[in-house]
Amino acid sequence: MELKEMLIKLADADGVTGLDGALNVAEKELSPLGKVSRDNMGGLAAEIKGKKDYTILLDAHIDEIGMMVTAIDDGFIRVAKCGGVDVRTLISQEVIIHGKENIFGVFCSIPPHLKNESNSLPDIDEMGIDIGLSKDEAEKVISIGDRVSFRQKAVSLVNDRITGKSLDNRAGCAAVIESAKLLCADGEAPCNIIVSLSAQEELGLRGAKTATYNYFPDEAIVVDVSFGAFQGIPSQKTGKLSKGPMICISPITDRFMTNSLIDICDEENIPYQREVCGSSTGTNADTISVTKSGVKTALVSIPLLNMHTAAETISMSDVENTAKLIADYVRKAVK
Amino acid sequence: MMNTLKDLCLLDGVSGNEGKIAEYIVNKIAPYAECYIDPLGNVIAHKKGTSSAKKRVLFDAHMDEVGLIITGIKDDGMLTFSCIGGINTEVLLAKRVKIGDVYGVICVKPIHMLSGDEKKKVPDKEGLLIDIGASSKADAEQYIEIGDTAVFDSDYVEFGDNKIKAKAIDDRLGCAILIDIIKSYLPFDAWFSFTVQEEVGLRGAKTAAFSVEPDYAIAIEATTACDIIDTPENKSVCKLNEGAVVSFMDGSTLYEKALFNSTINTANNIGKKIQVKRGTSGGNNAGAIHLTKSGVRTVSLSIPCRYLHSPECVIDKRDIESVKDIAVALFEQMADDKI
Repeated sequence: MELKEMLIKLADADGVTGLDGALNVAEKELSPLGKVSRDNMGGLAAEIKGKKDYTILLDAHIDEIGMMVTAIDDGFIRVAKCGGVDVRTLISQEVIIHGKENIFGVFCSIPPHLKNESNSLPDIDEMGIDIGLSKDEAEKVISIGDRVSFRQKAVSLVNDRITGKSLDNRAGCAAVIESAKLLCADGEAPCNIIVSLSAQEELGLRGAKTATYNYFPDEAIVVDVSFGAFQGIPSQKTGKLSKGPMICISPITDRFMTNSLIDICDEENIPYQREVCGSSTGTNADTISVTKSGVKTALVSIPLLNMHTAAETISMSDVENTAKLIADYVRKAVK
Repeated sequence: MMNTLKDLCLLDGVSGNEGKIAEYIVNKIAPYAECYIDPLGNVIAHKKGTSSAKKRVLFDAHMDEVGLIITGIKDDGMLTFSCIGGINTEVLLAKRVKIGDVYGVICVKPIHMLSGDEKKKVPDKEGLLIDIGASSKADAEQYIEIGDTAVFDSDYVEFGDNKIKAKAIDDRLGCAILIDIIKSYLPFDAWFSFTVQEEVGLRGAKTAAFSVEPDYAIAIEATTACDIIDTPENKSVCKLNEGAVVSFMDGSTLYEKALFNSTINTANNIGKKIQVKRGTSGGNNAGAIHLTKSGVRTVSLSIPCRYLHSPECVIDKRDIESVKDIAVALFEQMADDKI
């Protein structure tokens, strides 16, 4: 229950890179465990001292996809993408413009009375956001470059599903924070743990690059989200919700670590799914593994539906099992 | 009235399932008017004024809103649906809905897995699915029955300069105005219909007007304002904060010229803003009412509303008073046979 509350707090907080709402929530969770600091890229890390002089970095990106203000017009603003927003879903989407204060806005739509169903969509720079303010009034509170995020609080679906914005990758953040808590609950963590909640992943895996350089760990485990099974997309590229964390097998991820994760799932009866990536994983694992002279890296993913929309959906059990798996891995790795 | 509007917008009442709206309205108006519910579910009310009316006048607003209806449950627990009323597919993608107390989301394939063309294409409406989080058909059946209706999950927000955002402002705003009129002092007897099934073909108004047999009718509606960025002036239809909208013609009615002129003169006489709807799109209950029995002299007065039939209807508070005051002033002349 606590984990679910933490995840909802994280997901509801503002976290397009440059905003610090989600960082504040994470800092509150992590500061009892170790020294928390923020980096130049917009990320945050907690250094947790452990028994053994061996360092494992747990990475989850904390930034979310969003938009930035590019123009202020009379009554309306325009935006550009900040990350890979699914532009198809923007029409009639509510947003918050993070200006001097939070301003409500909604993407314009043309009603069916005036426009027949068409199957092509405008580009984002052809769309407008209605803010209900004149240009003069708007310019008092909004500036070009202000961040814009989806206005969508997380809610529970049936079973243990959660839907909201930014579950990519607050689900991963909640999982790594939880695994650090589990490890610290043993008394002292078995080794040094860096919980690295990195920024700018959605813009090109940037925050993890500098954070990993800074801490240069012995091993790293990346937790991100991956594609949930859905009709019309190839099943081999997806994981089923509620069927456990997806353990990535790829040229990039360390085979020994990966096998160890799988063994732990078998031993501890943690449900899991194999996810095979032929070349890049598209996650922070790609950049973390090649930091300095190289970092052994594994990737664990939480299956998610409707990625890069305001309707991202996950199963809480997958988050719990991911946290448990990582804690068990760390305990075993330093034994 | 703003609290009533908020309550009404937050209630769920897709066409054919307007019971909660009717119950709310009856509770609100029962102390002020005689009312009953007709066989289709319309709330019909009669309020006594200080004098009896020379001509019978009917105020009409519809209770129903556009929404979705569940048509099936797939093996994996996903729900298929159809739209009730006209809804463009692009406002549905990745939006949240409520089926009773159960939340659902309208799923989309992840953008990462689409080809270049698909990324800018609206998916086929028939293929869209609602996810309530169920793991199987049997699991979903614990929460959902085929035929359940779903509404957009959209709260009531005041924003910007006097703007309100909510679902179902079309036509709960009309309902709120009628309730306000019923609660106020009226010099003449008046009749009111809060109708069902407007969005599926003006069906409730047909039977309501048959029962009331009015000489005049004033349909109070929300109409398409397209005064938005990138839309040229000549396609804006009407504008927010420019007052009530009067129609000369739409898809279901060619309005009587004399009455149209009287409406504009009335607005000018009482100093309220009025604008002419610059377009003939859409249609409303006037279409059914004016053809009732041997014909009813009918006016359509609307609030300008952006993004109709989406989760995000937007109006300007300042237009509400224009609509209400013009409607009442017009009613007084109609009831007194002074048009």
